[in-house]
Amino acid sequence: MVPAVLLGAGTSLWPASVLAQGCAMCGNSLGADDPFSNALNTSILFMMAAPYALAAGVAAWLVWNYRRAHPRHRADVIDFPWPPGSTHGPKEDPS
Amino acid sequence: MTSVAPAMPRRSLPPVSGPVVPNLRLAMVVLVTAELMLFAGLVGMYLTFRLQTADWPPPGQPRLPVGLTAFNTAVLALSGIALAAARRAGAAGDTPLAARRLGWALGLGLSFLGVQGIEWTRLVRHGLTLGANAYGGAFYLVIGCHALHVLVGTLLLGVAALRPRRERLSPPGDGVFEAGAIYWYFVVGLWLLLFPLVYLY
Repeated sequence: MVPAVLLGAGTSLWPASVLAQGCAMCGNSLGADDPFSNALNTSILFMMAAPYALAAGVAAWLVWNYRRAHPRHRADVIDFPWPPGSTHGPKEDPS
Repeated sequence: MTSVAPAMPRRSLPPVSGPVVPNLRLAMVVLVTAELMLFAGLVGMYLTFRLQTADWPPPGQPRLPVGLTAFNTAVLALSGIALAAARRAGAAGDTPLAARRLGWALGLGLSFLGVQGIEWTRLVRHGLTLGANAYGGAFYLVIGCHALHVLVGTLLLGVAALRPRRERLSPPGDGVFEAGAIYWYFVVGLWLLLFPLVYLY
């Protein structure tokens, strides 16, 4: 466990330029200001965001449907007598 | 000394019959989500080609017909509106009106496909083919895939329209009509994103 943590911490401190060479395409073929590199990065960001956006949208739709079908109960109401000593109390539920 | 009155009894809600989201609708949402992921990949591919060059379309390649396609976009949007109106009429029990509106939606969808076919024929004559270059390949892959989905949508709506009158468009909901409608909304909504991306950007 400890060696794995140390290895992870050491790898995270490694220079970014070395890490980028993990992918031969990104490390050697594409420069920092290469138009193809920028286009590829934008495309990757778009495709990475798509599943999260879709999952969030479907989840929100399901929650909205569930809440519409099952409205929350309101808390029980106690008519507090005011002023003190009055006989003001709860009204009978007509149902 | 006054005694605190007991709390009012809690009203119990009527039991819910059936699932919150009908199974058919849930299945269609799953299908449409998967289809959206397919198109996310295609759009990612298109962006990779589009963003790496300032010359788009490439020199010697025809420009896409924006005016005609904008008209076609309006046609497809109108078909979506007609379908929504058909669903409202069907839910209200007015089956003949729902059938008429469904016919309008179907006709407008077929018109969209026809105009797309005319547009592609002209583009091919001007040298923009699937294998010509990245421009042609990306265009036909993204727009062609959408046209294929429009074709599937028209088939679904066509089946819903051709079913016997006593079975279709009637509450609590005809399955084919409901599935076709959800699919058609997806097709229309997706085109409203693809048109500005491919034709205007």
